[in-house]
Amino acid sequence: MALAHLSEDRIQDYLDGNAGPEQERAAAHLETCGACREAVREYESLYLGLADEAGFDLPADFAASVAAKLAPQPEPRAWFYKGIIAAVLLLAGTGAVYFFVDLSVLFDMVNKGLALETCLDTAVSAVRTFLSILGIQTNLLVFSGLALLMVGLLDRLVFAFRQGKTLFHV
Amino acid sequence: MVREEGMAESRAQIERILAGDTKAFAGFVAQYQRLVSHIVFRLIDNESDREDICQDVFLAIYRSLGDFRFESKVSTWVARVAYYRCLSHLEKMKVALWDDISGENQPLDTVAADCQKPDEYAADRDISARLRDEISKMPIQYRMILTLYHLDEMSYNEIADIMELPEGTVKSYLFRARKLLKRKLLARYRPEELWH
Repeated sequence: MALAHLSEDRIQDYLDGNAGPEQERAAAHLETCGACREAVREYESLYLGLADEAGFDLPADFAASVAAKLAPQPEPRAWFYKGIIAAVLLLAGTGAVYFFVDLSVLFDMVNKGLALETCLDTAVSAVRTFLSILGIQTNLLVFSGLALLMVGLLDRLVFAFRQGKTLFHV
Repeated sequence: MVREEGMAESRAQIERILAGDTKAFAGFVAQYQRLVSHIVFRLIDNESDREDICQDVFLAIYRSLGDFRFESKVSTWVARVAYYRCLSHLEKMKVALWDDISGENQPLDTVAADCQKPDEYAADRDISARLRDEISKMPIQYRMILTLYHLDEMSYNEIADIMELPEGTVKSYLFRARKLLKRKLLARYRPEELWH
């Protein structure tokens, strides 16, 4: 018994391979029905057109350009502040050493070629003297250090928030 | 087994990206840019917005990569991000997203009557361009389903997962979209121009 013509839904199911048990019956019908073969051919051509990828091209360097947007950019302001802090610390350290430590003793020892052990003893005692002088203001120094740390941390937090990043990926 | 291996590779790739490996991310973008461009180019009509939106999609993916739990394929997730990014853009542009679907019960026979006659298109031989033009006039869901099914070879199930629609609805929209396209093209071209 000849089947009635295939409906458009059945043709689409057939071409999608989703006709299930009907797949073979549909194939058999197509062998004998020119009108349905023509309808299938129309859909096949449409499927080809729908799979045409023309017009979807992104630039060749698209992937690299997106990845480049993620590369950590050195923040000019951060480098500027870091440079200033390093210079201030270097100057302050050098000044403190010249002010509190009698370097002539060390220079004499080096000139006279004294033993390393003696040099180390002298250096340790010089550092102890330096620390005892600073010890008068230890609390103030610790407080100042913590305050600076908090300011730096807050600055980093605000900057991270603005950049939409986490604190450790700024 | 193949899927598990693929998933293991995806995990390793995502772990490298999360560890800050930008080359791994470039590889990820290269792997999925075809899928994203299909979706974005098909849903966004304004050519000048397309590349920026593709970039936005990948940057959004990068930001939420740590939240991905591998409960679906990476491609499904990428496609979902791209789809919702496009919807968000279209909403901002005040493009009607759902209106056309409500007219889906309109008899398909009336479609041909809206179209120009074959003679008016005789000079236009670029049928692919005409097909793209017709697709661009369709509702967003139809465009998305046609794209994922025909260009990205996704199953009804995957498409349903991406668009958060029932599988039966996906199939119904796909069939109707194809019928519409076939009728519109046949209304504008002679069969021998189209099918030979």
